[in-house]
Amino acid sequence: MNGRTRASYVVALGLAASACAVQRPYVFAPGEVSATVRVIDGGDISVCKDGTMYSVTPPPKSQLVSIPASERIAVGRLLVYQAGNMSYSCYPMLSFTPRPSGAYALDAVVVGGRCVVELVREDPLSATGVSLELSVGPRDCFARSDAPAAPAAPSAWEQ
Amino acid sequence: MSLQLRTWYALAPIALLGCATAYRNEAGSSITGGGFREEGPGKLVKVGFSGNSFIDGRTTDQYALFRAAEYAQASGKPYFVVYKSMRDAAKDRRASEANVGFVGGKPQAFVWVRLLDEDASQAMETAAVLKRRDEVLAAGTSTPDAKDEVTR
Repeated sequence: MNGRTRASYVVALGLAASACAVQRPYVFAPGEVSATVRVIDGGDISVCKDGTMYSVTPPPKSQLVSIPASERIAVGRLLVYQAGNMSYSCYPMLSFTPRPSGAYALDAVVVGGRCVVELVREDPLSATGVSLELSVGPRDCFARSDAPAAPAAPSAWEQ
Repeated sequence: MSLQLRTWYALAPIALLGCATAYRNEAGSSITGGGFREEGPGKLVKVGFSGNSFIDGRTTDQYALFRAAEYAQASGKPYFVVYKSMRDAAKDRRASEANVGFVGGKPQAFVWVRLLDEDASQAMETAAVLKRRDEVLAAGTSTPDAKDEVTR
């Protein structure tokens, strides 16, 4: 974790405490398929599956987390910035349908005055190593897994 | 301790607090800001610069590009392209400026960098950006056309 991360992306204790009360670590069922997400500045992400929020934590010194695959889930990050005596926080999320064994990258940042989260698919065949993930859509944390997938919508980056 | 010396000690921290974040790389990053770099997916690396409330967004934007050039230089690459987001990188939609965000009046700028061995459309020449960095830092200010001069 770099200096900027330590200085400005530190999870607020109060919010973290309240989040911990709601989010429990995601535990894979035996044989459950998974995908991998690279969290750009490290740290926990939240995963919402079947209307339940879970926390997913990377191993020490790793950006990679495993998430459930083959069904639409929501993922996001809590961002907290400290500026003097003020604390600013936001919780950008999106949904997508991870492919089994798929590899993705997720970044949550402030652009302009807005919190945005973006997710791409890692693609070794691409010139840049990443490709658009076409299943990305708006957050639908409380959608049932057997409900129709939410229609794809432009992400914050395209608005 | 003389009164003059005590006055100096009292005023020094106040003077420091009133300064804009100086340009520095991630090794010199501190709670008041500085450069940062994060490993990205594929061939991308995220670099940027965070400032305090005494530095403007345009300068922070420029510093983020300087950081990108320093990363290219350290990697031995003569050219690089930048993207404003991973989605832009997926579309190979190249940029000539950084993404700048403000929180509590403090700007943070970043770009996604892809290193190149050869010149390409909208590529920036590492040496030219570093030359511009040296000029800007020597002058103690940023100039409006700094990016234009190094963007092809």
